[in-house]
Formats: sequence, structure tokens, C-alpha cells
Amino acid sequence: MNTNLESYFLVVTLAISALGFILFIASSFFKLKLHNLIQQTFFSTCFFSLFAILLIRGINLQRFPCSNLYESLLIVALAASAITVFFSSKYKMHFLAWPSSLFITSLLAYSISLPESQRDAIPLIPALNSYWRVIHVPALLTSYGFLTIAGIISGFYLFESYQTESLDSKKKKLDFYEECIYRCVSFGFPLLTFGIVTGALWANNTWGNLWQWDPKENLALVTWFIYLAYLHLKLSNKASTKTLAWVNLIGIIAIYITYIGINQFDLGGLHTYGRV
Amino acid sequence: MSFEKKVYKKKHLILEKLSSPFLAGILFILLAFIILIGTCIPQEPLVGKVALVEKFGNSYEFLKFWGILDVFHSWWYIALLFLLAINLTVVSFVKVFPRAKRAFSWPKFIENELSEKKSIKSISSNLWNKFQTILKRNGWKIKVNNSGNSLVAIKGAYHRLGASVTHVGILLTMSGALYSLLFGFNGVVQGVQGDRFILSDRENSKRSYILVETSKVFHSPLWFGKSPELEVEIVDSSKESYKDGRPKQWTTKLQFLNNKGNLLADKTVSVNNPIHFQGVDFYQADWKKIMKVIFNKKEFEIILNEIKGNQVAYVAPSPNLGLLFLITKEAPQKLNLISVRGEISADIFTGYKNLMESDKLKFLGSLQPGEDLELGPMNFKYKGSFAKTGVQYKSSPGDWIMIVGMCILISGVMMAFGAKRTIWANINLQTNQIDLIATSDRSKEMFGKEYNRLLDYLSES
Repeated sequence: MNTNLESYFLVVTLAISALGFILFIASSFFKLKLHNLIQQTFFSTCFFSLFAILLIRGINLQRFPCSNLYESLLIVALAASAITVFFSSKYKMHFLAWPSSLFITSLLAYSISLPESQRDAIPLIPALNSYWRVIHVPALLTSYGFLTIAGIISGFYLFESYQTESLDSKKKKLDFYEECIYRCVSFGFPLLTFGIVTGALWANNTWGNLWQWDPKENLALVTWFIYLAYLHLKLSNKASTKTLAWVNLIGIIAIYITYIGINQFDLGGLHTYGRV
Repeated sequence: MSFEKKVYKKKHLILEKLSSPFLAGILFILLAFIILIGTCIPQEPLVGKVALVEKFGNSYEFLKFWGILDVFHSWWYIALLFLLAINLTVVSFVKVFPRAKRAFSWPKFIENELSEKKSIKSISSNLWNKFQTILKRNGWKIKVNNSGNSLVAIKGAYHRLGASVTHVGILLTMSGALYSLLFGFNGVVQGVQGDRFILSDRENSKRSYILVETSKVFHSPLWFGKSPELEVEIVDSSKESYKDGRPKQWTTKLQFLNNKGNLLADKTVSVNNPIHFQGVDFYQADWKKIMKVIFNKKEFEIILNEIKGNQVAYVAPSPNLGLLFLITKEAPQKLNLISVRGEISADIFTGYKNLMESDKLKFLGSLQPGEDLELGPMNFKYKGSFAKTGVQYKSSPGDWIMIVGMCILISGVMMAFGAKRTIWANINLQTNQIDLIATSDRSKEMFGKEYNRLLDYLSES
């Protein structure tokens, strides 16, 4: 019964986010100004619906649900909805509505398309049976949410910077985007660092080594280096904001190779829980 | 130019080069690229030599020589890490730490020149006291000049310490890793109930090195550590399963004895629950069920696979003849031997009961531990089935330094993201207004909004 309820909520959430995407892209295309409350309601509904799915699954499994790709995708979608609500209310980033809803819709569609083996509620293998799972995994997945949104805004930045518009309004817009990117990275990078460090501590507890040079660890480090380069370039004023936006886009590619690519390309290693 | 001056200039130039962000950037990119190579190309420590020889054929030796097949232990990778460590250390002491001093230094008052600034804003001078109260209430630190007509306020100065704290964290983490490398050791043993091993390096040990053949203590070539003369016995080992047969936990009971053979402690290790004893950490490593058999006076270990609660192994001496070993859950002491003729599919293990009726299978007999059986020219003896457990051990004395370093690193990264904001205010006697300017080192747009809100609030009041 719980599984049916979970599937029901998942389909409803997917429908809401897809509907939201259509509405937001149409309003953006026709330059209609949607009331902020409509946006907030959409993303809040997504958030609570995803929260309900994870809660049902957690009750069903008697544990925090983050042990396979399906559960992790739901957590990223949950984080993305919360981040969108937070940024659009606190920093007035309303332009995030359609890309965020597209991102959430894609995550949910992908999670639904996963094979049963990746969606089944199965008991934890001994290595995953640790309190570190509750600390390490959500931190990293939330950082992926923040950094993905930073990447999306970087895409906006690059798109706008190649448009021909009056200089003043364009500059204002670009400055705003630049600041939004920095805001997202300023939340995402500490979480990424926290996630990598807690992952190392967990590895030390389970495998007896802080670092094993496992493919997932390696790519997480590469991702960290990319954002580190972004910050060094940003803080030292040594690169143009366009370059910084490109660095962010490279960062987002690194994130998704680390998160999904490792198992999709079957690079092996110790982190094979998400293998499809 | 005197010799001293030349030396000083050269030293300065070297420090400048070593602390350059450009060098750091190049090293980040190079390391990221090398890590990608090490991730995409199979590495020998992970997949083993045989798989790589099969994959690369004649190119194996060439790739091995250049360290491509073990990137993370190659001299050039370690050299790059070493260069990054030097860059990080030099940049920390030459550039980052000196800047930390300036984090809390008060900016100068801008008294007369303030009215000349472009971005100046003004509010009524009646609000001077209220302005200060509001700033204080919002967490600003205020300094007023002796005349009482000019103030400077700062907020978030500690964010400027972020880079220094992060660098301290990284340097500590690196120091911990170096300390562990020079003084630590590690190894893995695999054994069954009753096996003993000694944690001692071969040269210095007065006792027989190891009682289990598979153990070997690993440490760096430059090593100043000492392993304790500790004897460890595997008392018992077990596997806990879920109802569906998936493994839930592997556990090994260990006994620690001193070099005279006296019992020091009894401890149990399991996955995610390592134990610490006399400076050494013990971890539960891989676990498997094996059976020991003797074929024509030669002892073999055969791995048993668990299928639906039964223990099964299959050995094929020739393409058309195989031997199936089966220990059923109903009779765990008895080993059943079945010969298999012709090719078989994997479901032989799951549907063995039905297949017993197949003409491909022939039941050869059952054996209790210690019993033997003549199979034509071969003598087969069954010694019994055992749980073979892996115990990983490590002494890493720098771990606590690394953990402290990592915590500091996280704190530093979190601190670094705020902004140091400054407000200068003067009472302009000519206009009877307060002239204000403000700045923020980061997030200027957000600070601009916060600053305007503050001024609007003051103007309204």
C-alpha cells in the first residue's frame, strides 16, 4: 500500500513540475509577469510532495532513504525545489522558475525511468549501514542542487552576454546574474567540501582509509578543484565574468559525471550503489 | 649591486614564483587532468596485472614504465602533489596569513574628503544617535572619532579570515598525511577461526613473522615507525543475513595477546565498527565461506557461494567434466559431491534438486570433515568448511591531525563566503546632514539593497 502511495505521489509531483515548467516557460516567452506567490506555491508543493515520498519510503524501509540512485535523485529534486523557493523569495531570482522546474521534471522523469533494481526498497548492505550516510549523502546532493542552479544561471549569463541590448540594462542584468551565481556557489561549495570531507571520514571508518583514489572520489576532487579555480579567479579578479560562467558550466559537467556518469560509464570502484 | 642584495632579490623572486596563483591554477588543472587519466584508464592496484596485460598486450610494459597504469603512485604525480604542497605552504606564509592581520584593522576615518565622494548619500543629522543604535543592533561594530562627528562601522570582518583558516586546514591535513606516511603502516590478513598473526615488521621481530601466510605489513620506503609486537587471533567469524539472504553484517571476534602469549583483550570488529587497540585500528574486510580439500595430497581452498541458504562451489577440470560441491542448509556438516558431464547453465545452482534427475549429473558421494573418497586415480579428502574473514589493520598516527585539519578547512570555506562591509559617516556642518558612503568587498548588489533599506528606514523615522 505504501509503495502505491509513493508511486501516486511521484506521478503527481512529476505532473506538477511539468505543468509548472509549461506555465513558467510560456510566461517567460510571452513576457507575462506571474505573481511571485504562484511560483512559490508550485515549488512548495513540489517540495512537500517529494518530502512525503521520502517520508513514506523512509517509514517503509525503517531508515533514512538515500542508498540508491532513485532515492538520491529524489533528494536532489527536493533540494532544488527548496533552493528555488529560498532564492526567489530572498534574492528575488524569479527567472529561475522555468529552468528549475525543467530540472526537477527531468530528475523525476529519470527516476521513474530507472529499472526496478534501482528503485526497489531493498535492505542496506553492511558498508552503507552507518550514521555517516545521513551526514555525507544529503550534504553532497544538496550541494549538487545549489551548484546546478549556479550552472543554470551561468547559462543565462552567457546567453545574455551575447545578446545585443542597451548597455545599461544589460550590465545591470549581468551584474545581477553574476551575483546570483556567486550566491549559489557560496552555499554549494561549502556543502561540497563538507560532503567530500565527511565522505573521507566515512571511508576511514568503513574501508580503513581516508582516500582510496576510487573513481568517484577522484572526480569529486576534480569537481572541487574546478570550483576552487572559480573562487580563486573570482576573488583575485584575474578573469572575466564570462570566463567564470564557463568555469561554472564545466563544474556542472564534472558534477554530473561524478554523480551519474561513473556508474553509467561503468568506471567501477567502491561507489557502485547507483549502478543502473 | 652587492652580493647580499642579489641573493635577497633572487630569494624574493623564487618566493614570488612559488606563491603565484598562476602556478596554483596550472597545478589544479594538471592534477585534475591526471586524476581523470587515473580514473578512465584501469589502474593496476584496483584491477590487477593480469587484466591489464590482457587489455594492453605489448603496450603494458611501456604504460607501466611511465606510471600510466598506477598514476596515483607514479613519481611524477607525487612530484606534482609535492609542488602543490610547496605552493600552498609558501602562498600561505607569504600572502594569505599576513592578510589575516588586516581583517580586523579599522579603516581610516574619511572626514573632510567624504563630501567629495560620488556615491555619497545623506540623512538628517538629528538621526546621528539613532543611526549608531540601529547599526549596533544589526551587528555592526562602530568607531567614532575624538570630535564625535565622524564614524566608521564594519560588519563581517571575520570573513576575511576565511582564506587563512582554509589554508591552515589544508596545511594541517597535509601534515597529518605526511606524519602517517612516515610513521604509519597497514596490512590485511585473511584467516579462519584459530589463525593467528603478529603485527611486527619482519626485520625487527624476534618472533616468527606471521602465522598467516597472506599477511604483509606495508609502509613507505622512508619509515620511522614501529609496529607493536602484538599477536592477534581470529576467535570466531560470522555473517548475519536479512530474511532474503542479502548480507546484513560480517563480524569477527579477535583476541589480542602480548609477546609472551598472555591475553590482553577480547574485541569484536564488524563493518563500519572498527576497533582501536594499542595505536592500531582493525577493520572488518572481505568475508567469504570456503572449504578446504586435499586432492592427491595437495591442499586447496575453494570459495563457496551461498544460494538460497545452501553452499555451492563448482570446479571444472576439463570443458566436459565438472565437479559440483554442495553443502545443504539441512545438513551443514555433510559435503555432497556431484559430477557434471557436458556444459551446464548457471541455474544448476538454484534448481539442483530437479537437475539431480538429469542424466548430466551423477551423485558421487557424501563426506564428513576428515573423510576421504577415491575418485578413480584421485584421492579426495574433505577437511571442512570455514568462514574466512579479512582483517585489515592500520596505524595512522596522523589521522587525528588530518581530521582536525579537515574540520578547520570546512570552517574556513564557510567563513570565506561572507563579505566585509564598511560604512563611513560624517556630520556635515554646512548642510546639517549626515554624509554616508558604504562598501562591501563581495556581494555588492545584495549589500546595496541592505544599505538602501537601512537608509529608507532611517529617513522614514
